[in-house]
Amino acid sequence: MKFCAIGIVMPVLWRNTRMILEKAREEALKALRLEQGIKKRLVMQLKLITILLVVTLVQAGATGYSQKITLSEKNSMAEKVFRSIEKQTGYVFFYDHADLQNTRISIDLKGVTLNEALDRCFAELPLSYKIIGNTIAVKRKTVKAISEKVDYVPVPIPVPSLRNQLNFREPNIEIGVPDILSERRITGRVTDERGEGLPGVSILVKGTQQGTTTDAEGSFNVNVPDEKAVLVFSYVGYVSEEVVVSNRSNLDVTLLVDEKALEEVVVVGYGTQRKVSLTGSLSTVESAVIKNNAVGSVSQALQGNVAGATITNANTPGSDAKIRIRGLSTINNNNPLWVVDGVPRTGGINQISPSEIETITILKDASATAIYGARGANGVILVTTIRGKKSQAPQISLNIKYGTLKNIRQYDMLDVNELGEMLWLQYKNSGIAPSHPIFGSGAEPRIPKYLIPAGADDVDLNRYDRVSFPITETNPAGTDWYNEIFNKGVLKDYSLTVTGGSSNTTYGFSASALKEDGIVIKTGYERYTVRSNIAFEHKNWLEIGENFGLSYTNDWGDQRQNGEGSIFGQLLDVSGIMPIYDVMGNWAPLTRLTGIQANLFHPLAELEYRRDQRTQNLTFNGNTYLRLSPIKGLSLKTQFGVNYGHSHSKTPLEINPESYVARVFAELSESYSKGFTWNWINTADYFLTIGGKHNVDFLIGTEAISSLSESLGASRNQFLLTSDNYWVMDAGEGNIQNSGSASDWSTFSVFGRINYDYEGKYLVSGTLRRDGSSRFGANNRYGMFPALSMGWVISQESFMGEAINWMNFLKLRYSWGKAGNDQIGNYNEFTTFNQNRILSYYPITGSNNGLTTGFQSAVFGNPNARWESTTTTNLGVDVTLFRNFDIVLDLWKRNTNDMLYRETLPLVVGQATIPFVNIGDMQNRGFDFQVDYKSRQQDRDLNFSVGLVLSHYKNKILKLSNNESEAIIGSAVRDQIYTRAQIGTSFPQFFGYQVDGLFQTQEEVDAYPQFGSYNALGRFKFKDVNEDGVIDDLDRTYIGNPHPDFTSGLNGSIQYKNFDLGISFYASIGNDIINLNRRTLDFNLFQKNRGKGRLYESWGSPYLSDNRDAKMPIAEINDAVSQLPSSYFVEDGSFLRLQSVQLGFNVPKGILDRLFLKQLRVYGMVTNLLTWTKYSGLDPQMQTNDNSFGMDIGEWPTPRRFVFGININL
Amino acid sequence: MKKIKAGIAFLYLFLCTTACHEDFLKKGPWGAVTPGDLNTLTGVNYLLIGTYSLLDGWGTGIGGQNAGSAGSIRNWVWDTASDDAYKASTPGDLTPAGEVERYEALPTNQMIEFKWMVSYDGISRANDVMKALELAGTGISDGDRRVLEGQARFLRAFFHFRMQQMHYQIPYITEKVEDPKLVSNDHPVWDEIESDLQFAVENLPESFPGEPGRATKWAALTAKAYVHMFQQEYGQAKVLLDEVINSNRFALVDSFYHNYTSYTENNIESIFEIQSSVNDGTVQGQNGNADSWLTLPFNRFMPTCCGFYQPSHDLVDAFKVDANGLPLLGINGARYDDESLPNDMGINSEDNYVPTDHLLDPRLDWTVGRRGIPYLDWGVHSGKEWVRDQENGGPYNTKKQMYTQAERAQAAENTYARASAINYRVYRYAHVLLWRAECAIEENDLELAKNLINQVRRRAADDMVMGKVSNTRFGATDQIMVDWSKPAANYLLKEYQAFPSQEYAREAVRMELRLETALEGNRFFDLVRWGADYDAMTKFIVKDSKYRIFMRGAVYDRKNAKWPIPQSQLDLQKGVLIQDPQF
Repeated sequence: MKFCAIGIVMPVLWRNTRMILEKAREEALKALRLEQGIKKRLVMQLKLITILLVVTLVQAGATGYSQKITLSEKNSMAEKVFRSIEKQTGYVFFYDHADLQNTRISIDLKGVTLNEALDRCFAELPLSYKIIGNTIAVKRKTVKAISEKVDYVPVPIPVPSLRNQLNFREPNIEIGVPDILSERRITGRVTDERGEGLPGVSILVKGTQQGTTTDAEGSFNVNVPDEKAVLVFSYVGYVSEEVVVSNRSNLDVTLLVDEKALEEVVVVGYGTQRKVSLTGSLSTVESAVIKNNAVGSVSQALQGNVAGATITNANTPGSDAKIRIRGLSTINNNNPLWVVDGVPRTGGINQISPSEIETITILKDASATAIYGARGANGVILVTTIRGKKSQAPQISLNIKYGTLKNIRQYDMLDVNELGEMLWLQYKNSGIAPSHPIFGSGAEPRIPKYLIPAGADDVDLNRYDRVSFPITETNPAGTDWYNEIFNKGVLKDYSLTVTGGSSNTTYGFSASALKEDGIVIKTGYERYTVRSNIAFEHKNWLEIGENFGLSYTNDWGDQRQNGEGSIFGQLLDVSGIMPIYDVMGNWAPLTRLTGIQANLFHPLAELEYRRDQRTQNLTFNGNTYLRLSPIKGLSLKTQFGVNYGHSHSKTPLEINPESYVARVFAELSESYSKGFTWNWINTADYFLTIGGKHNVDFLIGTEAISSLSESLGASRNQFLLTSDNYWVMDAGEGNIQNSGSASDWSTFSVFGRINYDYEGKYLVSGTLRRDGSSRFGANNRYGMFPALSMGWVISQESFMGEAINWMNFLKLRYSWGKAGNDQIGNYNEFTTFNQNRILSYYPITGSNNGLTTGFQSAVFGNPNARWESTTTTNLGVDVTLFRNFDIVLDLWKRNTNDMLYRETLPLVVGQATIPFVNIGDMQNRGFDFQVDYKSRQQDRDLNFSVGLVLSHYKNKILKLSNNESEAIIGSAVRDQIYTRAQIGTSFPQFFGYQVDGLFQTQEEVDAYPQFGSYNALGRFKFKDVNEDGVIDDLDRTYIGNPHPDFTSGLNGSIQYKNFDLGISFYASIGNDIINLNRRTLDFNLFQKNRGKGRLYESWGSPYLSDNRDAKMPIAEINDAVSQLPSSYFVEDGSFLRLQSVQLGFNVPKGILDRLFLKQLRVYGMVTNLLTWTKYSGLDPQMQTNDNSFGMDIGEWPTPRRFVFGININL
Repeated sequence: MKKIKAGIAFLYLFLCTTACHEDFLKKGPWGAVTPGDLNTLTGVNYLLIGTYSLLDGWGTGIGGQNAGSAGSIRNWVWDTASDDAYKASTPGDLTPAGEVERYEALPTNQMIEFKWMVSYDGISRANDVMKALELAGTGISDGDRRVLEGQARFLRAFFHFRMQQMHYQIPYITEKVEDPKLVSNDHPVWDEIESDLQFAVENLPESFPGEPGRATKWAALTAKAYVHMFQQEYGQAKVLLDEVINSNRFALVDSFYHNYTSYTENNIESIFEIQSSVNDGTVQGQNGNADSWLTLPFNRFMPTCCGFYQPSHDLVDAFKVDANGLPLLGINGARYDDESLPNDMGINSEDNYVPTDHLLDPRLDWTVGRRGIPYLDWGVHSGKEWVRDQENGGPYNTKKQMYTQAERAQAAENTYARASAINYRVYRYAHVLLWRAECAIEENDLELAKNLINQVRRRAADDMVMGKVSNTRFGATDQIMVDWSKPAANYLLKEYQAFPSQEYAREAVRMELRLETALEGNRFFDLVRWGADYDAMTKFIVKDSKYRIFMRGAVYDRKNAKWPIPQSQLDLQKGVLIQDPQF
């Protein structure tokens, strides 16, 4: 019988501490059982069970230590000597307590290496040692003797060397007696993925207490009852393996590192860092979260999973989500920087399949992003792609998703009869006799047979002509336009990934195919990706690798996502009385009707015409690198990366004589564009530990980026045929057009970072980057971006005492830093003139069909512009409570200074692109909060976890220009402007009149401040905000704020045996939406259909018993003033959504083995299941531009998806 | 050792990249020129063409077609403030123009700002020409220089004039101004306009063979005369107008209608035209008449859009004539608006309606599209079905800027039929004759005035007209019948025999200008320069409210003669620009 002990000296980090405690307790219990077993004099062959708890610092493990040891001991206990070596080096001894009993050492060392010190220590002892990683394994010199000699020694209660405060209850367990006679002896070796022997691996015969541990070489021998026996190999930080003995007597096992169990390493700018030593603020998203999402989009899957990021999804097929990290830091481009395998991307991320992704890290504060300098101000999202491990057998994983999606919301429009009734109400309210081209001029509206000719009941059908007389009947039954246009779409997503590695090679391969229909007919998206990542290592000091991703996407159909022209905007125009086809089966000319007409298109016809409109992208994203480790701790890396994007869009359009501005000829327009960006990054990283306590990591690097984009477009019309293969440019006969453009930019940067920690307790990090950018004039080409951060792991302090039992980890972080934003276009510096056929040519010769060249002022340059700099301070705390609660809280403030602003110039200077000047200031404050709970019982049937993220920011403009009253005016929608921002407001806010209800009595009208001649019964009471006794444009004010107070995600999962259930909620609270669809639904904007409310809920409606219940003003012919931007259109956009529910089943191991599978999971998922909101529009979750933030005009609603999936691991 | 060597090699590489050449970060724009590249004869001429290009109101900057409306050469948005026209389309469409129509446009009105934007962009481009001329130095001969500068100054004056018409005082920006932002609007700029036009008069040639779009000496003379008319400087105007008349280069074209087609442009009557072009290599014909984008009829019979700028009841009434074929001036007789002509408001196309048989000036049916009269060659106007929204815009359509089916292939953009190639005649000989008549009347030379006015009337009296439509219903089964041997309506147009008084003559010439140039954008500004705006508009509101409910309660104040300075510009040029004290 052997006695085992634990040697832990080095300050342990929280996660390991907890494991140590759990393991120690477990082992102690086992030992107790054994002792009792022996007391009952049971005979058993028992191999020693040993625990080895190794605190593995990955970087340390990979690079080793090289410090000197000084030691002077006289006849000291070996353990004491070892401890002092541990303290100096950070290495951990692993030994059998029994081996060292009464072993004493006398030694005197001065500045010797570890090896030398150990050699001298062990010289006179019957022990040998071996260094494995940062563990020093100690064993008796005569290995064989051990198993022969001490097999039956009783085991005393082990006393964990550090944690003797553990209280054990006395267990009382019977131990079964194996049949010794049939036992067989198995020998073998357990290695890690590099082929190095792993000492201290626990080996158990499954279902018994029989077992052993590996020796310092990783070798073991164990007796098993029979050939059916299963050996379980387990080792802290590694994935346990179960092996059936079968008829083998020799068994070699490789254990794979368990990523999760190891100290989490986080990808940071130009490298990785242990999570515990982080001082900056960043979030990581597990790849499983991305992969298990019903949406095949990386960016959309982030919603609700990242504290501090506001993510709004677009609902057109294949669209990218808009990601805003910690509010809006600028009135300019707020897109975060995506960096994939070290290569910065331009544009979105959707060309990458979730299956290619291994990690996602979102860098939030400046101490994390300053390393990206002038491009880091909006946050940085780092993506690494799949990669195998060394000596890892190929892991093949196949994921299949199949689903349907459908729209679930539509506006409640007036039907055919209601429309007539509403029009009659309007006439009556306006005091004129009803007379309508369609509904006639009787006392009651009538529904005629024909819309063309308007209002007719009889027509000579022989006079039909598609262009000049497209006879069209009414549809008294009412056309259900939503039904005509909605598609019960299908989504299919297949992906295959293979990862693995040999002793000096790792690889990751993936291929995926996705096809998704839109919720609207004839729209869709498909994507195919291939990725191949390989790395080769030569003799531990040279590594060469590449990451290569190729992707093709194809978007088709009319996917205008918002605006009057989007399909959901068009659906507001059409009325049930309109048929789909005219009497001859051609598209009904809806835009050419009299009295009621669609303003823009025939929605179905438009979808049909644009069915073959497509945009195809081919993207290549790759890099190759070389890494050298010439001396211990130093890593030199050079990486050359390329982003190449090629885009082709093609729009063939047939004639549309039924449309108002008819296409008389079939036309084709087509464009190609390409963007080529290369970057070359060189970094040197040096890690060292001084005196065993001071860990320092230096990074310096350079980066050069150069980018060039070019485009070419052409169009023609008059195509004789419109068959598929006639649509080439050459076949067009008329209106030959072409266009082309080019632009380029480059940056060059030098950067450095130092991370320092003292005993993993006190952490400091500093970053400095110097950027040069072609986007800025020679006067301001370079800028510096510094950052400094500090952390204190309080839980490491001895004064925490007993508190460590419940507050297992506590870290405080503080950071300060600057990052920049240079997203201002490329040539701000230059004053230029250009020529433009539309804007500067003129037919001076009097020709009706020809132009003479002219030039115009194009750009006013500003050679003095430099980047915006955003200064972030961040105070953060990371806590682990009761082992299960992980809490992260960050309080932050971001000040953007020198904000680039196109200062409004007086119009007298003429028109040209106004340059950016550094003049504005903006502030954002907020907090990010994340709490996770995971039940840790690995072997229980029931497990569950819950995670909550909560983000808050407040955005405020501090300065725009030297003009105090300067305002950013939003762009006009149907000639009205709804958003505005100025000093003291958020960017942007809603702006307009404040409505104080409706006039209910004439006295009220008479007493009210005049608004021209507008005021009347049933109309809006616009508020006299400035109280000057009249209502005018000076009474417009800020009437709503689209910024949410909070966004939050709540994700929970429960596992019971083989079943798992995942539920996620998403909420956005406190944001306003301006629902501009209601201008169309409620008012006489055009001669369109109206929403039900106009008839039933407007002031004076015969259906209202009390006008005080009216929800909108009186229905009138001319209600132009009521349509002015006002608080009437502003609604509370808060919502809580049950985002998804997922139920999965893991096929049990027994069946898997028969199928030769490692894993088989089947699941079903429903998304967008329930929404709680007061918003009256189709969907409160919508994506808009920053300067029209929160404006709903024909936005696509979020579909509901039903998805069925299978994951197979071979 | 190998490792160390490799490391050193790497570090060398590393240092190499840090020594990155400065040129790596120098990137210049593609496909654009810097100002210095244009200081040549060719360059200056290019800049000059660029200045002409803004005459149609369609230019750079925000707003697109709406700026094109505000800055439109025809001034149509501003003409909706007159008694000639309505904003029309639907109530919610282009509401800022609706505010102009109802005299409710505030300093924040978008249309006012757009017009300011387009005009000052034109001025800025003219100044770019002047600057480049200066910098080109001896590279350009004196002869060329005078002609280029003459055109640039003509255009600069022209744009400033259009601003001065709108506002009480505006800043005058020249190339000599170091910072345009600092130029105040502390006085009216008539003198500056005159001085630029005088330079043009003295330096521009009488013609540009092959380039009829350029401003000639005659254009400058006419423009300057009109500027004087706005200041009631009839004596100065008279001299200039006489010079044009006495040159004998100009005459009235045979048919009134030939001032409105694409195939009779730059004719003998034309003094200065804004040139339009379609199917010229642009996608939607933005070099076409910018007005035609929005102001053509909107119905299923024509490929055009959007039904803005419809003629008013009052305008149609003005075409009434008495038994002598003379307008009803209301002096010693009935006034045209004493009683309104019946119209088809509220009557559906298939219902019976008989167009008026009142005696009418035949120019009515070249100016206004109305029920029962052939609309050019597009078929017979059948009333309600031809109008986008009768309740909002009345029963009439514009006609002058519409092309015929026959000329469509040449005159309309083939992919975007709302754009047309019809030139807008800014100054034509009829203007010169009538303005000269005004001068004569102010000098009490009534005989000369009568002869001048009669010249214009004579052409219209003896002119082609539309055919007679016998249908009174346009139901689905009704066959349309047009008798082209009979006139469409009861036309009568005679010359004035004598003007009984100066007052009568004044009314006559003003009426003649209205009838001859209706819906060409000058009506409102003419009313203002005559000081007749307040009376006319006040009466108009009362009458018009009968038809258009939203005119009820509208008030025309004397201050509405001018529009306020845009608030945005006042904010941007604090202490430099001053608001019209009336606002």
